[in-house]
Amino acid sequence: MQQQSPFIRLSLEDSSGSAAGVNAWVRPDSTVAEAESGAATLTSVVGPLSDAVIISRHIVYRGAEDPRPAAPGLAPSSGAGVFVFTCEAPDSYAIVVVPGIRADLLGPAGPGAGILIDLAAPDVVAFADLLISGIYCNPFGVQLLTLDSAFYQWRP
Amino acid sequence: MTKLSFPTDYNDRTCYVVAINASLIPLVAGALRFFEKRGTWDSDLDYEQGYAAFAQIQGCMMKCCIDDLIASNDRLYRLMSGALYGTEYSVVSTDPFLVIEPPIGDYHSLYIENEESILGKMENVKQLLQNALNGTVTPLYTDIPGIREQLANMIAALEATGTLDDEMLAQLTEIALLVA
Repeated sequence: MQQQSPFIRLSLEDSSGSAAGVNAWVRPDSTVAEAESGAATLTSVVGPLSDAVIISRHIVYRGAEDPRPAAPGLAPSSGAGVFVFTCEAPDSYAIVVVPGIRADLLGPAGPGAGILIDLAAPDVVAFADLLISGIYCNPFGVQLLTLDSAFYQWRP
Repeated sequence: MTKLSFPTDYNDRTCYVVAINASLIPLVAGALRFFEKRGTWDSDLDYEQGYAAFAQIQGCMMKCCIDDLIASNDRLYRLMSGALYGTEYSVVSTDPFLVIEPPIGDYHSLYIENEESILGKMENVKQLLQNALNGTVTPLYTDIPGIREQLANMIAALEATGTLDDEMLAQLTEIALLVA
């Protein structure tokens, strides 16, 4: 995976509600703290230039396969494996979606045949173990605790 | 597009069981992704509550098949039927479906199928008391006469022979009244 230059994107919204953005690339050797500081400064100097209002900013670090490899299987990306995790706070959850889930990971028997994901499959275990033991959290900053449910969904 | 506010009475309401054909689960659950997006909700708090609620729904969707619920209901029925009436069930087939006989009917007759069942043992005790006390001939007990009649006979015989003092006669009469 080749790293590409990170960039800052400011999203602006005009008086009609239409949105557009400003992209500014950051030197690849910049630290996260420097990029965040740069984003804050950029926000303060772009704002006065426009009649639109800045409503959000993103700092994007990108890596890309080059050349792009072929998909190893035929499953469509819309056929997703959806993993629902409980998190460390009460009544807190996280949903992690894996597009193009492999058909052989879906349970073959019982009422959930073809839908439930086999939680004992080694690749599933490795995935779940990583997410609950690493740096990962839900959108609200709460760390993942256990894999609660995993099944196939159609998410075009 | 109108943004959604998370229902304020969410924690006060109970849940409904909604039957969804298993083939449609991927489509129905996938359609809920709309509610996982910040843009759907009016505020950050609405978003956090909505995200958690819809994640919880998706977690529940594949945990309780209606067939499993009905099967567990049937297991409870067979447990009670076996314990109360002594009905014996057996698995006659597992492929392609689990078949257990006898089938569960709309109602259970009062017939006790096994004396070792709860009602069977209660019936046994009832018949024992009827037979022992009153000398009633029952399907399980046929001894005659009963204790009550034997006591009456004893009292009558002792009174006739005059070999019983008044105190013992009073005690025997008292016992006879107790089992009456």
